[in-house]
Amino acid sequence: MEAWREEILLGSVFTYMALCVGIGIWAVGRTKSVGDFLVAGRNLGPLIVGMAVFSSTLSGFGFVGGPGLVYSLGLSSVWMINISALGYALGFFLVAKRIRMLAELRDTVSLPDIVAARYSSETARLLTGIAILLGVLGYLATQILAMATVLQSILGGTELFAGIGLITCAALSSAVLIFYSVTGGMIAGVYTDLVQGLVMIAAGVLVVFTAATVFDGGFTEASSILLADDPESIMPYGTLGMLGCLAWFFLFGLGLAGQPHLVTKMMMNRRLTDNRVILPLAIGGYAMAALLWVSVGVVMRAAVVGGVEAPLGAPDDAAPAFLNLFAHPLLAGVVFAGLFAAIMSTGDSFLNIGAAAIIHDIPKAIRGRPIGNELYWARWATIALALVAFGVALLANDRLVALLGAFGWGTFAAAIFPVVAIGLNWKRASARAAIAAISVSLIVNFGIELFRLPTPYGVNGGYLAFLCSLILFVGLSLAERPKPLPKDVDAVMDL
Amino acid sequence: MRSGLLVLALLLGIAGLLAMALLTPEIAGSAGAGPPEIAGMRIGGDGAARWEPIAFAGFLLQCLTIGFVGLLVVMSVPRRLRSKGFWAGLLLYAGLALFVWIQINTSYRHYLQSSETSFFLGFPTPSAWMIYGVWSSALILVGLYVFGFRRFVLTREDEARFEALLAERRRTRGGM
Repeated sequence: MEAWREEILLGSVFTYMALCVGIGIWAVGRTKSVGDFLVAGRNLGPLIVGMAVFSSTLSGFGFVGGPGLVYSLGLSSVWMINISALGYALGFFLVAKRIRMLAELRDTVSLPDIVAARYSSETARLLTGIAILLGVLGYLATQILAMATVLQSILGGTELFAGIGLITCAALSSAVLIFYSVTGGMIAGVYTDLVQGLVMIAAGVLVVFTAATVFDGGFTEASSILLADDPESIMPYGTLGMLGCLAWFFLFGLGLAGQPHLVTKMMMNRRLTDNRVILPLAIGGYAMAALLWVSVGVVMRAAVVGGVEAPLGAPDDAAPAFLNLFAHPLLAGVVFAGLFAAIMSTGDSFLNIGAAAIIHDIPKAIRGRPIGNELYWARWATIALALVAFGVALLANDRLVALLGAFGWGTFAAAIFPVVAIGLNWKRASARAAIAAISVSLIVNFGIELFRLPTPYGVNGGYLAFLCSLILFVGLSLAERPKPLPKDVDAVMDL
Repeated sequence: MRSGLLVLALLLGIAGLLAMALLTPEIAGSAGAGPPEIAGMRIGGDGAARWEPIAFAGFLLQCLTIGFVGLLVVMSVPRRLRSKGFWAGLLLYAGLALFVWIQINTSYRHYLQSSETSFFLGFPTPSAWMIYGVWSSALILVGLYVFGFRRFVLTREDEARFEALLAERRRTRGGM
């Protein structure tokens, strides 16, 4: 079987990509309106939405960057994922019911539509659209670069494609992503998310069993090696220390309910009661897929410090190196497909909400009405957005991509959580407070990253921006005289 | 009004504790340091030296965060649906989350003082509390949502009220 490793890896990845293209072709006939394209017609079953919610949360950052972070920082980054159950639960308590109700009442197709309905403010809609667009560009660029890196590591190791360039790999993988996103929109997106989610779950579970057999004593032996080398790396705060970990906990846990690609999915289920099934499905899927994050990172760090393997060229090589060194070819095939699944499932969501911002939200906020033939322009906007992100990914150096990637999660959490997650549950929240919170979150988050302002104790800049926007949002709302809400919004907030 | 003030108070408390911790004189390598022999891999170094100065502020900060999470859940449930069962579930979550948080820190302190630790499911005890304990304590909230859905999240009466609202909206649109 080992002799067929190249063929198995190539076959797995191309089968996966062919499946995505097939779903895109299947979905094109089912996408008849802009509502179908952007929110899948709000007619999806709980299994589809549950898988889409979890798979679009766990991106290439999780499957590639996660093990790399554990390799680099020890257990510090586990604080980003041990909060997942709490983050999802909080997101469903705070957002899922009312966003779905408002979506149906106001016939909305995007998150900024919801913000505009809640606050009766076109400025709030515009700023939400801009925040989404900025975050999406950063995230999408990193996803494209991650896809290209993984594809290059697979193809570059074969005789047929040896020496293939990063740009060619980025073009190949982006073409598949763009194809199914343009043809099938969100319908293709969520159905590929289902396939991608299942592949990611399989990859996570299979990898954890493989990782447990790398050392004779399993994870306990790997932990013991790390404990003997640098105890802090395997202790609860890792090498980053307590405050850095708690900042990640807050940002990634609470911030989960502010991720637009996730909360937009909460508008798509057929019935409100489906939420009680979607929540455990999403948590279960995420937990199984995230096993890869911890297990691969710990084992690769132990293998290197224990002298079993040579040091990696870069921390992000942890997952590919693990697959090449320790995984059975069939498992490696499934997991490499899982890597693409993780990246693409998030990428298609970003393309979708980004296209909505370009053709729907921003024009509506500026002109007071949407542009004509939204479905047609949504497809072109998807292509344009992907091409811009493709350019950013290729032109940007490492620092810029890292800057934009970090900007993504922090931007969404700081700008959107207060306005949506608190705003949908607190009648007193005001439009002015929403506008101020979004503006300040963008300034603080971008300022810290762009100017590389140092933060003590490894505290993430996005956390500081998040705290600022939360305090500003609640404080300003309290300082203002409450204004009556539109009748239907007021009624929904009583439910 | 009251919930808003409570949220603001908790957020200001979190910000104040964070400021207190961040203003504590930082020792070298407080957020890890890179050994020259392995590129891209950082080490933690002296755990006690970098943890002790910020341990108390950090501990309280996370306690307030747990309280903040609880308050957000309360805000999401209409006042009339906050039954004894809801409060019991929420208090159970908060109690368990605090218990796990205390266990992480006490077992970590024990390790720093004694250099001894046991293992649980592959990880040293303090880390096992962090990995398994934090994740599983939130399952109480998940259970509260899933099993209390018809009592705390969307009662049948509320669902009917929403359907009526929807019907009224459609009528209004149709008449326009």
